[in-house]
Amino acid sequence: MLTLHLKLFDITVAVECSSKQICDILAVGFSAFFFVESGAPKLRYMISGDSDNGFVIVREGVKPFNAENTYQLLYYFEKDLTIELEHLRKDLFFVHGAAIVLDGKAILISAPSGSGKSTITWALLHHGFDYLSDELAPIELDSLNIEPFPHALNQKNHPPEPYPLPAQTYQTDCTLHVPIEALPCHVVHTPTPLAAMFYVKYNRDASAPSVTPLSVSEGCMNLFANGLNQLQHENKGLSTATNIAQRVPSFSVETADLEQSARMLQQFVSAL
Amino acid sequence: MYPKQRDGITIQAVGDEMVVLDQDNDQIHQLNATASLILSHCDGEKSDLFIADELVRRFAIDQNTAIHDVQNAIVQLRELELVY
Repeated sequence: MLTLHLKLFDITVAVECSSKQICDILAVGFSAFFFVESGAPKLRYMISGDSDNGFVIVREGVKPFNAENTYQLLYYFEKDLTIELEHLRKDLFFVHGAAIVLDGKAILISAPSGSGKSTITWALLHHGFDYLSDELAPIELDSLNIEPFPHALNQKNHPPEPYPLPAQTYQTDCTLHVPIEALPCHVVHTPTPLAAMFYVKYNRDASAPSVTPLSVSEGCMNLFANGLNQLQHENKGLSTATNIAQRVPSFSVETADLEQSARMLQQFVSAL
Repeated sequence: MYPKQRDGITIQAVGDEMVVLDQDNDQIHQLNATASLILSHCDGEKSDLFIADELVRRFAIDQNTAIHDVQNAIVQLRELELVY
């Protein structure tokens, strides 16, 4: 057995892997969280199998679950891990979204799956933004800092020019994972103040991208709708979402041509 | 007509507006100030005419407009299953 030690939001995790292949796959996704073992982990996983026959994921104390391929291995492992992290860090408000940083200001890019969130995030990393988090943006409620969650940046499809994915991109049956070592920017490993929240939607028919300010209630609704652990918070999360939306401005973004959209957002955030 | 908020919805006031969580239907709604005021009075004891009077006082509109707005809003709130 090979053991990987991860640390996420101050929670330590040990993952015992039956082969180097499994370690290598997890390293693609989670190398940013590797750390030197120190004491008993809070969570412990055991993963066995291979890409030909499938994998078995066991979390200590619960029923094992199967992953048929490398895509499912990365997906199910991360899903289970993040749900456990949400339980262990109820003080954080977890949002489905990416967080990137410009001039020390973090912005949240959130939207339902399929709205173009990952694509515009990838593009913005070529325009001066640094990488803080993908898929999971945990907001610390007092400071309004976003905690880093720099797993490999996920894409479902190859982005258009001029933003090709690097050769190091790891491809599964359904997803493309850009390891943090291959990103075109710096990776931010420290909590960063949240300056604005953007809810994006791609409109292929739009002649130009646009940004529209949202009211506090619209911001609250969008934040709540993209939250992951809302019900663990006050008034089923509505009070918490309102509190955040009152303190951080929210915007609706309609993206169009990718490069034009990225340049517009870069200028907009620079002016915040 | 004595509209009443459905049990089980969660309401958050945001200034003059409301955000309403309906877990039974897996929906979240944002109500404008008028709809928020109307929903806040839907307690099963106040009539639509009473609520219209509240609108007249609050927004300085005429009685007929207020009655029309209240009745329209209650139809929509019923369609959303927020009141019955």
